[in-house]
Amino acid sequence: MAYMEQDGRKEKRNKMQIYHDILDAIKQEKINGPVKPTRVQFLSNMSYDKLTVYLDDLASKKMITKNPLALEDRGNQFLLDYEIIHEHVKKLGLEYL
Amino acid sequence: MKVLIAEDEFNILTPYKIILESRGHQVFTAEDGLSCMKIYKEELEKLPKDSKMNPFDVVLLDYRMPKKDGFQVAKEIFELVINQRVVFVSAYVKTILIDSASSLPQVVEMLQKPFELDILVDIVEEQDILNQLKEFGIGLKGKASHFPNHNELVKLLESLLEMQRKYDVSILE
Repeated sequence: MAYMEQDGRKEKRNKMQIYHDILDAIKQEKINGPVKPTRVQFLSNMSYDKLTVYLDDLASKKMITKNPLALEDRGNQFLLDYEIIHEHVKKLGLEYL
Repeated sequence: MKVLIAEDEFNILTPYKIILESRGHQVFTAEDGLSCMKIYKEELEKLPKDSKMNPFDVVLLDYRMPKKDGFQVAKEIFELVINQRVVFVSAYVKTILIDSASSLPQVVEMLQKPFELDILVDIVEEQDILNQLKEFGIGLKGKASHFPNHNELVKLLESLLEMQRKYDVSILE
C-alpha cells in the first residue's frame, strides 16, 4: 500500500518511500502469480523509465531479482523495517508530507 | 508542550514564558532551584504510578540559581526520571559541559545566553530533529498542535538513519 495524503494526491516521495512503494507493489502482485512490470508501474505510480532505473537499483542492492521479478529476503526485510517505522510515525501523530 | 523553566532573573524569565505561551505551550516557572524541584515533584506525583509519561516535556534550567544550582536540580531530576529532557540555558556552557559529562547520568542540551527568543522556541519545539525528519518526508500534523515526546522523536530519527545505512539508500530521489 502506498502511503498517500488523505485526498489521495500523491506528494513528491523521497527515495526510501519510492523503494517501499515498488517493493510493496511486487509483493502484492506476486500473490496473483508472475509479476508484470507494467502492474508494478501502475501500483507504484511511476513512469516506466523511472521504474526501470529503480528496478536496476533495487537489484544491485540485492532486494529484488529482475528475472523473474520477485522480492529477495533483503527486500522483504526492507518492507518489515519500513512498516515498523510507519507504525512509529502513526503512533507519534506525525504524517507523511 | 508542558514546559518547566527555572530562572532567577524575572526580566529574563518573563519573555521566555510569554513567547512559549504564545505558541500554545503550558509553562510553569520557578525562580530558584528549590522551588523548581518542588514543582517538578508535585507534577510527577500527579501522574499515575505506572505512567510512562514524564511530568514535563522539557525542563529549562538556568545554571547559576539561588538555593540550588541548575546542575544539582538536573541531578535530582534524573534520579526521579532518568529520561527527562533537560536544557541548560546559561552563559556558562563550558562549565556545564565539564560538569555534566563527568557527573550527570543523562545527556543534556545547552543553550548559551544571550540568544534570540526564536532560538529558544526552536530548541523547545525540536526544530533540528523535525527538520531532519522532514528530509525523510515526515512532519507534524497540522499547525504544531501536537508535539511528540523528545525521546520518541530521537528514536524515530535514529531508526530512519539506521534504515538508510542498512539499505544504502539516499533520501533524495
